[in-house]
Amino acid sequence: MTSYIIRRVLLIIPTVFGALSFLFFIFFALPGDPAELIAGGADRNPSPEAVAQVNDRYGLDEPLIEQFADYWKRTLSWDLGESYEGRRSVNEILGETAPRSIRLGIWAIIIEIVVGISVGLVSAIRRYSISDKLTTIATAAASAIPVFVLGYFLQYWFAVLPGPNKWDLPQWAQLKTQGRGDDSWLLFFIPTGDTWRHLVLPAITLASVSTALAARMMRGSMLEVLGADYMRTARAKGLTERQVIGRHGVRNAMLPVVTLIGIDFGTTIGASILTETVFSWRGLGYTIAEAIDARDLPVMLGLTLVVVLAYTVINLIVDISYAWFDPRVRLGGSETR
Amino acid sequence: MTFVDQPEALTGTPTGEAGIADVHEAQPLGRDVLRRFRRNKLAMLGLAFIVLLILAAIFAPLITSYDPIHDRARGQYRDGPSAEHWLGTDTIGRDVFSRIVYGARISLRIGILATALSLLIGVTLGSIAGFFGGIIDSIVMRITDMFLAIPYIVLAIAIATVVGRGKENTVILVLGLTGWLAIVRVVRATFLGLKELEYVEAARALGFSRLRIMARHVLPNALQPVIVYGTIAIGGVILAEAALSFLGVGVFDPTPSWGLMIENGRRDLANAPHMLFFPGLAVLLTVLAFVFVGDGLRDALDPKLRGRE
Repeated sequence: MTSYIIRRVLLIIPTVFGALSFLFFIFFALPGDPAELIAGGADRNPSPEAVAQVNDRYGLDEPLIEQFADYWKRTLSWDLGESYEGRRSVNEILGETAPRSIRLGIWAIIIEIVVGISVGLVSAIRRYSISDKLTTIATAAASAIPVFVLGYFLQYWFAVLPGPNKWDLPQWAQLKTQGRGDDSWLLFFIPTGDTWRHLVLPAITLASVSTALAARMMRGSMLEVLGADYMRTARAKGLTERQVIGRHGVRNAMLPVVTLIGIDFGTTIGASILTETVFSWRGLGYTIAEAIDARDLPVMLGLTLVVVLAYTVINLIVDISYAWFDPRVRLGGSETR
Repeated sequence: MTFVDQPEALTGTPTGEAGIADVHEAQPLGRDVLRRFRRNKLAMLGLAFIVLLILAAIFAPLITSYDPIHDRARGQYRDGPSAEHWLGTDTIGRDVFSRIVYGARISLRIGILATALSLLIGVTLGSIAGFFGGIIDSIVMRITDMFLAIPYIVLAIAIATVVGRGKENTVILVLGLTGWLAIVRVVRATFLGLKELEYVEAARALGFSRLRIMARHVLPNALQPVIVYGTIAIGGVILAEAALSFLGVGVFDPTPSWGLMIENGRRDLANAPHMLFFPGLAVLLTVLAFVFVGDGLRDALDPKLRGRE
C-alpha cells in the first residue's frame, strides 16, 4: 500500500508541471507582444515608453526560457505574481476568492451526495415505476441543460415570475439571485445571517449536472447490488427489507458513486466558472472568467494552478481510497483500471 | 459528457468461435440491432428530432423568410412571440426563430466536425496505448492526465487564444482538441480487454503482423463503445460550444450561435425572457436527443446491458 501511495503521489508532479508549463507557453508564446496588450488594452496603440515600462516591470522582454525558469522559481516559493490589472498580488486575490468557491463547492457536493444517492436509490428499488421513469427523464434533462440556462431560469422563476418569492413566504425563505449578501459563515461553510438566501440557488445550479450523473450511477449500481448473492443471503438470514437494503445494499452500491464524484470534479470546476458568472458569486471561476476577458495572464495562471492542484489531489484521494477497498488496484498498478 | 462511466462495460464480448477472418459477423449488428433500437421510444424520439433538425438546418431558407443576420425589424426590439415573428425579436430586431434555425447549422457543423476530430485523435492514441502497452502507454496516459487536470474551459480558451478567437473553425479545433481525452480512455480500456482474447491470440499464432492484428481484428470490435460515445459526444460538444460562446470565447456576433444568443439575452432576462429561453431550449432538446440516441444505440448493440445504467 505504501509503495502504491508513493508511486501515485510522484505521478502528480509531471501532471501538474506539464499542465502549467503548457499553459505558460501557450499564453506567453503568443503571436503579438503581451506588453503591448497590457499597456494598451485590446486594440489601441500604446506609446513605446508605456510598453517599455510594462516590459521592465514584468520582465516580459527577457528570453522566454528565462521567464519560464523565473515563473517556476516564483511559483515553487508560492509567489503567484501580480495582476496586470489593478496591480494586486495574485496570492491576495486567491486568498479572497478561493474560500468562496470552496464553500459553494462543498454545498454542491453535499447536494450531489444526498439528492443524487437517494433519488438513484428510490429509482432502483421502484424500478420501472412511474417515478423511476420520470427520474430517468429528469436526470437526462438535468445533464443536457446548459448550466447557465438553468441558472437564469431559476433567477427568472424566483425573481420575475410569480414564483416562490411572490408567494407569502417568511423573509428567510425569499431567495436571492445575485451576489453573496452578508457573506458571513460559521465554521467556514455554514451560512449565517442572510447569506444562505444567496447560497441556495447557485448551489443547486452548480450541483445539477453532477447530481443527475450521481443519480444515474447510483441507480445502475444499486440494481446490480440488488441482484447479488449476498443480498439473498441477508434476506435468508431473516433481516427485514429495510435492513437488507440499508445495511448491505446501499453501502456496497455507494462505492462507484463516490468514485464518480472524484472523477466528476473536473466537470464541477467547469460548471463553477459558468455558475459563478451567472450569480455574480465572485469566486475562482468568476475571477478566472474575468481574467480571461481582461487577458490578465498572471491571475489566470495563478488561479488555474490552484484548480489543477485541487483536481489532482482530489483524484489522488479517490484513487488511494479505491486501492484501499480493492487490493487488485494497488497490485495491478493504477494503469489497468 | 461523462455518460460512459464504465468503458469496460460497454465492450461487446466477441465470442470465441467468431473466427479470425470475419470478426464483423460476430457483432450483433444489422437487423437485430435495428429492431431493438426501434423498440426504444426515447431513442426513436431523439432520432426523429435530430433528423428534423438536420432538415431544418439544410432547408433553413425555405422554413423562414427572415435573414438571421441582415433582416432587422424596425421598431420591434425585444418583442415577444407574435404571428409575424414566431419566437419574437432580439435586441436589434432580428427574428429569433430564424436565428435558431440557422444556428442549428452552426451547432450541428461544430458538433459533428469537432467530434470527428476528437474521435480521430482519441481512437488513434487509445489504440496505440492499449495495444502496445508499456512505455508508450505510460506516455500517452501521462499526457492525457495532464490535459484532464486543466479545466476544459481554460484549455479551450488557451487554444483559442493561439489559433485566433471568434471563428467557427477555431471552435471546431478547440473542442476537437479537448474532446479526445475521454475517448482515449474508452478505447484503451477496450483494447486492454480485447487483446487478451483467444481470437487475437490465434491471429498472433498465425503470424499476422501487429499492425494488421490491431487494425483488422481488434479495432473493429473496439468500435461499438466508440460509436455510442461519439453519438453522445456530439451533444456534449454542442453544449460546450454554447458555453464557450456564452463566455465570449466561441464564435462572435453576428453569427447566429445558440450560446451567443443566450449571452445576448441575459441582460434582458426580466423583460424579454424569450431571447434567452428559446435558444436555451434548442440546446437542451438537441443535447437530449443525442443522449437518447446514444443510450438507445448502446442498449441495442448490447442487450445484456439493458437497464444496468
